[in-house]
Amino acid sequence: MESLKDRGTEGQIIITMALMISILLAGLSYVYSQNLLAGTETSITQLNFPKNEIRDLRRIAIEELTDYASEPSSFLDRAKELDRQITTLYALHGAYASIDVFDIKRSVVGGQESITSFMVRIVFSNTEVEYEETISVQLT
Amino acid sequence: MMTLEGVIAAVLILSVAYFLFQSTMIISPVSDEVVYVQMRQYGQDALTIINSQTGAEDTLQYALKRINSTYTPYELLNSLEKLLPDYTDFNLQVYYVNMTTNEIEVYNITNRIPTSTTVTASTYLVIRNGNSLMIPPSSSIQQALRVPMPMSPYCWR
Repeated sequence: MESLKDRGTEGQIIITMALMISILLAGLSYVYSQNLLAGTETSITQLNFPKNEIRDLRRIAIEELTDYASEPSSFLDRAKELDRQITTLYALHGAYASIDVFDIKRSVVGGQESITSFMVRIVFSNTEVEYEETISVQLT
Repeated sequence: MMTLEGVIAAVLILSVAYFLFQSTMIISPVSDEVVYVQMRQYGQDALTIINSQTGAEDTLQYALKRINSTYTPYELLNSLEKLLPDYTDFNLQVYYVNMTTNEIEVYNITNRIPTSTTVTASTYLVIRNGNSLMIPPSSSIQQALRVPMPMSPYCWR
């Protein structure tokens, strides 16, 4: 049996080593490019995800409507006007948003009308996210 | 005697390296994206802090109820400058639905020129009973506003 030192086999070792280095390079480059892609995807998702838009919508819906409920006579009108403005402003950036009030419960105590509870449906949708939530707001 | 094998090996490694560099070097502006995300987060946090009903002079609510051609909200702009990193330049705008024309209008609180590396944070709020461009004293109805803040870092100019 011939040893590796013999003529004719050292050349094969060089070629084999080159092949191994090539495979290693390809593997490393694959991992590297996957890493870059993951980073890009993550940042794009973070930039596009409308977390704050939805949070603002919820905050406005609950805070404002609770406040308007102190005047039962104009409550629905103001809620509708708020919905109209919010829808217009959100539409400016390619999203649909709406605040719908329904199931308003009123009570009359001593001739004075007041709202005791209402339901509000919050809808937000854009090309990536669809969000819908129905909240029951209890007053008093 | 190994010259031929050496040359073949070298050509193999070089061609693989060339092929890989050509295919992966396309995606390079990753560091930009990371900076964008971070800046937007800073901006969003800053806007969340100043978007409050406390009645302090540096809140959006206080400033936007009073803003007109004679009132400039220096306290608000000062607070934003302190909240944002030193290298950041920002603009502050207000979008609102004009009640009479029913169209969306823009008011620029600051007028800096945006650069190509601008990233925008924004917030929504509602104001009532004010004396400003968006909400005149006679208006009894609320006004919803969108406040975008385009930001760009100095060092990229």
